[in-house]
Amino acid sequence: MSNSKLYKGSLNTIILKLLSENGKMYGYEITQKVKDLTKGELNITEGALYPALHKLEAEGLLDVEIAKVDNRLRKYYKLTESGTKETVSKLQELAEYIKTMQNLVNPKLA
Amino acid sequence: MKKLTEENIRFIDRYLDNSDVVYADIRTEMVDHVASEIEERIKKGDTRDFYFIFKDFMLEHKARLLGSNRKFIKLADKKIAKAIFKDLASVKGILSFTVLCILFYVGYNVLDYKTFKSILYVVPLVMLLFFGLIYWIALKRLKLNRFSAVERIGFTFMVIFQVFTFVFNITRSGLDQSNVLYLILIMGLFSVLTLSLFKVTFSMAKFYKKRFKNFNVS
Repeated sequence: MSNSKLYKGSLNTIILKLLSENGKMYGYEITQKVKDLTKGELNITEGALYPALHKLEAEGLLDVEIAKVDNRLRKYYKLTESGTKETVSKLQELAEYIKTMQNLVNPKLA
Repeated sequence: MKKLTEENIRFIDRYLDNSDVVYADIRTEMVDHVASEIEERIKKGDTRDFYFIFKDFMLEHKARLLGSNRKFIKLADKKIAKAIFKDLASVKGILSFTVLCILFYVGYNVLDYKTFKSILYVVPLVMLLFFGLIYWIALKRLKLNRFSAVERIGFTFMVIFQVFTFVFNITRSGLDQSNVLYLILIMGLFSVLTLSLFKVTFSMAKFYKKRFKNFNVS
């Protein structure tokens, strides 16, 4: 991930947000979607993405569906009910963080 | 768009298996990731043979892929620990512990102290052999799939076994009939932990069986 330290804390929020918008997604699709949306600025590595997905799944925020696609198995992730609630709260948290940072680094724009 | 053939997928799968990504649940996702990236490169105009694209990809990403494999294993260990703790702290877990301690106490009253102590020392070993036998049958004879959270339970059991053996070895000389209650409590705890490990093993195996029920994973 570029600017790894800055983005690391937001990885879960990014995943939850994408899943809330796209229904179900698989790992590689998430990496590509992030790359597209940020025009290549943010590149989520597999080393960061999959452990995060598994952790969110273990916390009960994501549900998993397996399907056979193009000669192989594919693991799709989707939000659970508590995942949907968590997404709202995480996005709110992130918005407040951005606002606070804006106030700190560029008060004129805030 | 060109898709990878079954043979290509098998090649990626075997490569990852040989690179220590031995658990089917973890490897399935990695195989899909690698295959998707190779297909993307082909889509973008890479006309080389599959093996050359694969080799380049692995040169760039192997360390990260294997790094995430280690993180998955840590997560599986955490999942097991959480499940065991939940089971032990449940009403059933506390009841089982109490019943086991009572049974050991009854055994102490029925048998002479020397025989009772010998039996207690043998219990962990018998359980270890039983646990090992189940895994051997599942993996070698029935050739069942290797799933992370199921197989790591074997590791958890070995850790618990070693801790108990260590505790026994350092307290052994000081143990006599006056502190038999301490012995009973320790054995009760070990037995209830082992029971919990069996329960968690079966529930995890059931979970994976359900998840992969329509698919053939190796």
